Amino acid sequence: MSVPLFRTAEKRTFTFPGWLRYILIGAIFLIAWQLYVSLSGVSQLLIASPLATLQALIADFANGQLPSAILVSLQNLAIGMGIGIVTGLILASLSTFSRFGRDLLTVLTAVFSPLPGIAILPLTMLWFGLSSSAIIFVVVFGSVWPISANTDTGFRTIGTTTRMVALNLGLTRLQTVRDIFLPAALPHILSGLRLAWAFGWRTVVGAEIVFGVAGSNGGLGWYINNARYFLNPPAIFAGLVVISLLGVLLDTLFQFIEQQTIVKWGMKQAQ
Amino acid sequence: MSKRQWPLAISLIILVLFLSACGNNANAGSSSNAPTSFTIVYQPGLGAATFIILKNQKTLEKQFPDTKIQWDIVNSGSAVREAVISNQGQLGTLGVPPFLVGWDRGMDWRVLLATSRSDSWLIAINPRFKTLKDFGPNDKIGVVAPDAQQAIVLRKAAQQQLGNAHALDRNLVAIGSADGEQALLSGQIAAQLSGSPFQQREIAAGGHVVLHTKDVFGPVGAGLTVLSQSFYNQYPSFSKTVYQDLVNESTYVANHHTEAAQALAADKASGGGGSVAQFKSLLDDTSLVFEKTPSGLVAYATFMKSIGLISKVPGSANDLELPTVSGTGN
Amino acid sequence: MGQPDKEPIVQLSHVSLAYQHGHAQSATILEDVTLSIQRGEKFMIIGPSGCGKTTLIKAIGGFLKARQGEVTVNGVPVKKPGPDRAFVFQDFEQLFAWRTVLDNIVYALQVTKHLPRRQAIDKASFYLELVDVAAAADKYPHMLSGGMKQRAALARALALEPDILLMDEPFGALDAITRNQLQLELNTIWRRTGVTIVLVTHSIQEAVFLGHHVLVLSSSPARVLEIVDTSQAEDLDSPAFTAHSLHLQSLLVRQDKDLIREQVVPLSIVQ
Ligand SMILES: Nc1ncnc2c1ncn2[C@@H]1O[C@H](COP(=O)(O)OP(=O)(O)OP(=O)(O)O)[C@@H](O)[C@H]1O
Ligand SMILES: [Mg+2]
Repeated sequence: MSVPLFRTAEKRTFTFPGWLRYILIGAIFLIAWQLYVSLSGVSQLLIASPLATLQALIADFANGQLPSAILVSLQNLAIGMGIGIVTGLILASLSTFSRFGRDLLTVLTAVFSPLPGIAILPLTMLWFGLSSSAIIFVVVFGSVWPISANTDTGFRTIGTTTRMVALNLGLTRLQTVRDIFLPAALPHILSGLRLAWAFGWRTVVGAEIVFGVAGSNGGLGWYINNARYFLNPPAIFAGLVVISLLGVLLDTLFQFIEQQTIVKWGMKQAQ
Repeated sequence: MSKRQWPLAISLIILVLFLSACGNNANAGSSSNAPTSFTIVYQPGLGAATFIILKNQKTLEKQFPDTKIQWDIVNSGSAVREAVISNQGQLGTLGVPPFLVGWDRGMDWRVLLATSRSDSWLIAINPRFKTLKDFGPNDKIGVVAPDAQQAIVLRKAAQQQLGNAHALDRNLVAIGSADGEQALLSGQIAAQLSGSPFQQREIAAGGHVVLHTKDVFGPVGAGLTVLSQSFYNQYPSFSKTVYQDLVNESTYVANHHTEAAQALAADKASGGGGSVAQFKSLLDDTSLVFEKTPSGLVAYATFMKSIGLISKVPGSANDLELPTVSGTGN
Repeated sequence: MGQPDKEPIVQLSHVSLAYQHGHAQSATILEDVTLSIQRGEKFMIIGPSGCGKTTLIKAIGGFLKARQGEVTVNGVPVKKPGPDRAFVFQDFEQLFAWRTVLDNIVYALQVTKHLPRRQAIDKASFYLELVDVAAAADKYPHMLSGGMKQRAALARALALEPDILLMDEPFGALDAITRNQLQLELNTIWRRTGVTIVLVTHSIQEAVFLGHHVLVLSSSPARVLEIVDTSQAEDLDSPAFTAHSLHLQSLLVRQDKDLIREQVVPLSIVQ
């Protein structure tokens, strides 16, 4: 869509507000989906209808299966990302302050970042056994590189003036990193985090499926897989809906964080 | 996108969905006596002996030269079920529980005949595991799938010994039999419940038996060979021939352990890695019974319903049987 | 009129400066500079573009080590930057974008003087009042005009209550009117605080108007051309003002033709 340079005094036809348009599209999609399932005669074992999915959602929320699966997955993600963030920031700081650190980060990122997380899952399963540590390790592994590489870029692109102000105030190294470098590099750090969490979220769910931990303490990947084992397509769809919605929610959280920080500070334009 | 394009886009989406649904009916074809293609989906292990012999002798290929016969090996009953639902396979072989799950959810499949029944063992390496009570929350137990016969037997055993059918749910890990053997030997899982020949190899590698499945449900629960009711109705003579072939091969295997052991040792569907002598001794084991009559259908269904895994119990085994075994099972 | 004490605060003896890049060293930027700045005076530095004015003031600030000779402040050789020599930079990005104007100053006070927050806020507010940006105290820097940013930066530097205020073309990027306003305010502040000011400028008018002494540098490698005493020329209409301006112009004319052209207009509009 192109934006006219000058708004002419044309008579504008009525348009719906943004949120209403999204809801409308969603509703049309749901209706089409329901109609397709009801009218095409497709086997209910292949595609669950929106209504059946909703029923599965409600039932499994009520019996606690979905909440506990969500909790497990989010916990795996949070712990993995937490460790990934700390490690990434330390690596980036090392890289900023020492030649060796810089070389180390360059080599590690070059070697490890092209590896898909799922690809190292078999290895972590050997190291950690079939425990959530194996999944968490993969998330850490996947989030460290985007975070450290982006943070490093962020640190490097901090303006000379900002650095000189920090020197002028006589800050210690810790103060410089914590109070100046981190906030100054926040736009880069946040985009690194965004990459990391999108990666991490997919990895957590994927790993849980590969894992096939069949107990009742599995995450959303397990939930979907379990629904598959018990031939319950509505639950499979419910799991997918939840994964997608949580993704949207986490993304909204990120936008909120950006709004409250770098947009508010004028370091990034609002979208 | 302009307003005018929206209905177009949506109709396109719906059209694509409809078309994709139509693509699946591969061999619905004409109503001749035999289908144009027929895929048999079975699982690795000693129970595959009948199918390996049938495949090797090309009996079906000779009887139905116009039918394209295909053989697929998958790792679990759930995978067999998916193959049948998506019409990638027609004849499947699987345990009683995954069959019941499919039936419960509305699949129109029925039992053509049973295959074989044997005793499966829960095997641990670490001597500290003597009974089910010794398993802590982090001690994983490998089974091929959470709906596999072994997993159901384990729940029943948990109910009998620990007082709660779900006491070991957190311990279950879905893992193929061969991978599970590796995982057990490398210490990634504490115990494994699969079948022959995996369990014998695990014993040879230092494992010990924690639980015999025959002690839990009794001498029932032979593997099943299943076909959909609609397929049977459409190709009754073809289906009966397949049934008779399988009965013949089963009898053959029961009476010719040496030849069967040779076939097993040469085929990866046996579960891999074994000499003719090893397979022969497995076949000689008296706990392995080849029988065509399904058993334990009602017993398993009753238990599975009682712990919420399925929603209904058949009035009698007859409800689940094709005419080939009609009224014979339990 | 305030007169500086007859006691040197900054002394340079035979200082040569060059930039160090790893092991390579740039050509000499400043050569054999000897001068002394009296406590409480306003010392101006002027010279052709690119001659090394910024380099010189950075050396006093401790950002650059002398290749030869010695820079002392209060009789002590300068080793590194410190809040006793508060720096005001030319560019607008010297405020921390992630802190409000008030917080920028509060933070500086907390890390340099270890003031409790309450006290730091009081002091910060006082200096914001002094430079006339109290109204913008709770805004983030990106919401401020260029002039307001420079005022806020000045407030931060003043709040540190430094021995010396080092200013590198602080008003260079402002329009003429704002610039004149700030020059007047700087004079007022100097009168109230008596702080020693070292200020780099491109403007002869600014140098003569503000300065007690004006250091004129030659083009590269820069040497001291002359240190002109302009302490008696604060009145724009006085004959001394005009005389000094013409003298400085004649000194610079050989150095930088552009400088003259630049000066013709500002001289006439200063009122
Ligand atoms: N970091 C640096 N490394 C190497 N050379 C530099 C560096 N910074 C400046 N120079 C060089 O030193 C010389 C003096 O630069 P400086 O910035 O001190 O000039 P200036 O007098 O402040 O100029 P202007 O009036 O344009 O601000 C210039 O030739 C410049 O190219
Ligand atoms: Mg400069």
